[in-house]
Amino acid sequence: MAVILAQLANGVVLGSIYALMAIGYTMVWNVLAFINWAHGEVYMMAAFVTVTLYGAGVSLLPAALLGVAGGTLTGVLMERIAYRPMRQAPKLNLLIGALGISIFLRNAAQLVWGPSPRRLPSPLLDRGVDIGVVHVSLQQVLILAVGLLAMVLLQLFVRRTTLGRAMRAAAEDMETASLMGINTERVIVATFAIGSALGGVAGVLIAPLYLVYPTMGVLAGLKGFTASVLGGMGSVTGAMVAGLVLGIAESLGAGFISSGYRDAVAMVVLLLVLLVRPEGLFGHGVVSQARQRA
Amino acid sequence: MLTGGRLARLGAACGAVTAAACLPALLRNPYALYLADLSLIYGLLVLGYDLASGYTGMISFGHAALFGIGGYVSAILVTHAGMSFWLTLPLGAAAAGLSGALVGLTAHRLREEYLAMGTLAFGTIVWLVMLNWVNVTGGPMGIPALPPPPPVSFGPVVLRFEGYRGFYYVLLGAVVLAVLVTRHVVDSRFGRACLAIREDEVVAETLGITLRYHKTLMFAIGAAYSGVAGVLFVHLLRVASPESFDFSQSVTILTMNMLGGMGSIPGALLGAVLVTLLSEALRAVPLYRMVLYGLLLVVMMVFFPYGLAGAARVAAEGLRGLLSRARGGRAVGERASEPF
Repeated sequence: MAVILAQLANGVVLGSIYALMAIGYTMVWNVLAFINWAHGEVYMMAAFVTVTLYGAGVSLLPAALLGVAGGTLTGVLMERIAYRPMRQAPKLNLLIGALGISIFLRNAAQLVWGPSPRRLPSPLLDRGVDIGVVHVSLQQVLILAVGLLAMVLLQLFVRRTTLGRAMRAAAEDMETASLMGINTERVIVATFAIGSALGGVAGVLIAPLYLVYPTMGVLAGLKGFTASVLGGMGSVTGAMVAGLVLGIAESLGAGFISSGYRDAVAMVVLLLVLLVRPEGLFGHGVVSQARQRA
Repeated sequence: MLTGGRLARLGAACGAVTAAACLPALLRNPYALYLADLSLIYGLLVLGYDLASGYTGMISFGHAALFGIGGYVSAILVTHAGMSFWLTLPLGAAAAGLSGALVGLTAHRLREEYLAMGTLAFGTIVWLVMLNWVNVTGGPMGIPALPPPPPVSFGPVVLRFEGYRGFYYVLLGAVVLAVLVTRHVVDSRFGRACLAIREDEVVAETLGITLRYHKTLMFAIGAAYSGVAGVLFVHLLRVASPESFDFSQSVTILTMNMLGGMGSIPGALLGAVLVTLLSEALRAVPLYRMVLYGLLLVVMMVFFPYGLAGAARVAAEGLRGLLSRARGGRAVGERASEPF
């Protein structure tokens, strides 16, 4: 029982990371109807910036914040340099261009920082709390807290602020929004910035628990994408819930079946969702939305 | 009827085949011969990939798995069952083709990024099986010591295929056959239906084109090419190992296709040769190779979305427009912006 509960706690923590990643995919999808394949690299860049700054003597909190800023910048630059010139091009070009960016960043990071994993220490790792029979480190508590806080803030932002409303309008219909006087370029940049910031937060938060290495974004990106598909592409709430569901399913799967198949769980979930219910749990017809856009 | 343009193309094709057939005579260095062999294998792969990507609009991120299935089927049958290479060649192609049909059948409803993700998952799963099913695939070590194709005798004439030189002609034959099949498939009613799917699935469906049948079959044909390429590849290297069929191999195939230009036979072959030579030049620094592939993909997509073949077409149209304008005729340069 204790083992199951421990796995469950683990799953919730992992799930908040996936949820943060999934929001990035879903937000960009909402506005541009395209999957930012290189989103996992934002997560990786944020973690590496933090580790590098910390290694250079910057204290932990500023290093973490600058890491998130680095991740945000990575996402915004991607949009500015590559996606914007391609916006009118066929969808496939965007998709392949995004894969190119992802491969480029992943391998460039390996050139710059080397392939060996690095550690980011955290004072919260050693301290923990006991909830019933389960021991949870404060870092895990922090991940859950920051994750939930980020999601609440995002909801407030999207519903209450002018830019958030503009974002929802642009997601509804880019052209009409632009005719209504919304600066859609600004909305797109803001979307990339916020999505990447959340991805960056995920990367920095997870760094002390796992290691920081150039390919760390690959699986995280894939799982974030899986969560966004499971939640229904375009639904921010769906992304949050599905992230948690995926994290828990994965941890329980690793606990019950074999830890070797931990990553296979996400793949199987992805294939099943794609084949059985491509609109996801909370989505309303991805296909029709894509058609509308095209 | 052979019009002028077709005649010129036929002439160019015959010239290219003749030149390719004479190439080994010029190459004394076995390493150069090996590169020529490798280029032909990749040419075959990209031709098959292009059937799905360029002519049907299905982008796969897991194509290396189909390549690997062909290779492993042959390697397993040759070592465990003692079959002849000439028997495993069609079997490998059939196995890859069937797997491709299965992928196409399950994935025909997925498009763009969903198809890409689905094929990526498929590719990863196949790769994991190659890596972990040690009893059959030999695990990370792979299956070593594969024999070269045995000699074939036609009465007194015995054809031998040992060494890179002998292999070259097998490969050239396969590529020529693949080009002919591609031409035939693309020009057929079936191929035109696939082009319609590429342009607009919804319109194609309203015209009575069944997506499931066309996508599945086209994917399967392309996969069969990859299977042949896989069989030839493992017997060229004499070993089938999982590292040859991982995600970066899928990226390599994609890069070749994008560099050459989708939906173009010369483009597919050119992309294969260029990227093969490029990656051999960067062999000592594999990281730079992947960095370069990534950059190449982005740059091609931003500036030359239709690859070198597309750029050449635009240049040719521009030149023709310039010429006809010089002669006082009408400019035809406008058509250059049409992609395919």
